[in-house]
Amino acid sequence: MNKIDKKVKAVLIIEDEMDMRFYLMIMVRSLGLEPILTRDGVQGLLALSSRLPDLIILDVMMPEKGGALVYQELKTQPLYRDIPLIIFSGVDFHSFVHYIKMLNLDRGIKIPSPKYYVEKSADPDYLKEVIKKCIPL
Amino acid sequence: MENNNKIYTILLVDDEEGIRNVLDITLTHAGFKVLLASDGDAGFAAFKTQKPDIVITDIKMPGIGGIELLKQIKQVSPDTEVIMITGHGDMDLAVKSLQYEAADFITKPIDSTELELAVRKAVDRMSINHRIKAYTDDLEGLIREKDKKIDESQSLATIGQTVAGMSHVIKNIAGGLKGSSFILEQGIQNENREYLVKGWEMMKGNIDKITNLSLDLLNYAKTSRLQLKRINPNYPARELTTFLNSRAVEKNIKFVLSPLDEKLSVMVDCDAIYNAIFNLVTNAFDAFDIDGENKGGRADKEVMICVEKEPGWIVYRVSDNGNGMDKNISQSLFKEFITTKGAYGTGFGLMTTKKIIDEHNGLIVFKTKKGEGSVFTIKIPLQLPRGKKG
Repeated sequence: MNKIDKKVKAVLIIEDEMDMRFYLMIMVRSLGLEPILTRDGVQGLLALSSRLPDLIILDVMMPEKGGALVYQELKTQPLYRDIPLIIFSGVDFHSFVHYIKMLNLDRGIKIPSPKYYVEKSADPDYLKEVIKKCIPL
Repeated sequence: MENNNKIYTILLVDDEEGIRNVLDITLTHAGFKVLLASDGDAGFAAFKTQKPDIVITDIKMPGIGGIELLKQIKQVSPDTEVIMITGHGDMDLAVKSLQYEAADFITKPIDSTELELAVRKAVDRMSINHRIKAYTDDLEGLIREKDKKIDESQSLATIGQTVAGMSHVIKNIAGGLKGSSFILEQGIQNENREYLVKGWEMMKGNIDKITNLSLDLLNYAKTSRLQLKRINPNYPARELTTFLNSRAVEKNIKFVLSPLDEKLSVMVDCDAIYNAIFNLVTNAFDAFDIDGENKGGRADKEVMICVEKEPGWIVYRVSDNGNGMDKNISQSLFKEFITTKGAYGTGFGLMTTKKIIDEHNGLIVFKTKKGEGSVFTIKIPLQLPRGKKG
């Protein structure tokens, strides 16, 4: 029923918690963007293969494939590497960066720390600003 | 051997006055304070009142002999050095006296050099023993102090972890409240009923969560002093089953109690055990949820509490045929605030359960398989060790 309007910019949301997914959906809609909702890393990556979004919002603590692994995969693939990305997580920034470093060591690759990191307890206005920064409206 | 110029006191017990006089002169000359006794009974009386460092006693005396005196002295004061004086033909007695831990023996006629040598050896041994004891005491004191420090730092580390975990839980609630207020705002702005309903639900969920957190914290703090009572082990399980039955019906879960079929009582804190099982059962109920939501779904959902007896233990087993846990989650269980319930759990329940079981000197183990369910087993010893009182 939703006509896909290629001009409307799309945001891929990868978040396992239903409440938070709903919150992000409304946040994204309130900015006139189109949300694509997925509930874990596997679904998120699958969605990417059918449409490249203008922004990805990625949770960290998820069952099946967690956010850190998805982040690593995105940053090592040329097709996805440059899509703007916001990590949206209950984990604090330093723990996440540490985890990424460990993952790098594990796999002998080098990926950067995320440019945009928003903790779940952040003000909605702040998240809104960060989204606007990633997608010039 | 002059240990801080201490003057050692020697009690000399001999029935022959001549020998007493000679030895008195020799030993006094050598720098000792000498006490004299003419038989075993007088010797033991003097020993008790004067507490000499060394005793020199003849073996053969009227009344209680030297060996008997040696035994009596060693019984009340094992550290006292006792030197025996033996006649020529008393080799057997001399050997026997060594078995009763005499320090040495010298034979009559007494050679003053031999006597002094024996006494000096005894003095050396005493001062060495004394020093060893002092070192040991020091060491024990040091170890006790270090132990205390380690205990303190461990409990500080635990507090640190607990506070960090709590901060994480509270931060998540704050995030949820902010998210729900944003949804409500959008709902009001756009007059969107779906947003309003959803935002309101999410806000209520977070209010519930913070209420639960405060209750959990209270329970966690409360269980530190056990109120032990002798109860039938079925009792807390029965209470719980009655209380939670309606919730099971609501969730469409078959909820079964299999009580212990034997008259038996166990010393436990009934409320604490109730709480411990309560946490396991409510977790089991939630084990069928998807996304923190009860989706109805399957028709064969079952949660069971079994009360059983094993030699020395009462066993409570809570099993479900729900979602089970993957390895990551099960490895961190009990240690941290682990919640699989998204916005609905605090991760505090299992920590509280573990604490209660630890305080009963019990065991808690679990088996889980993703997609097949989990079994949590609590074992409480039938005999609580001494020192654990309510």
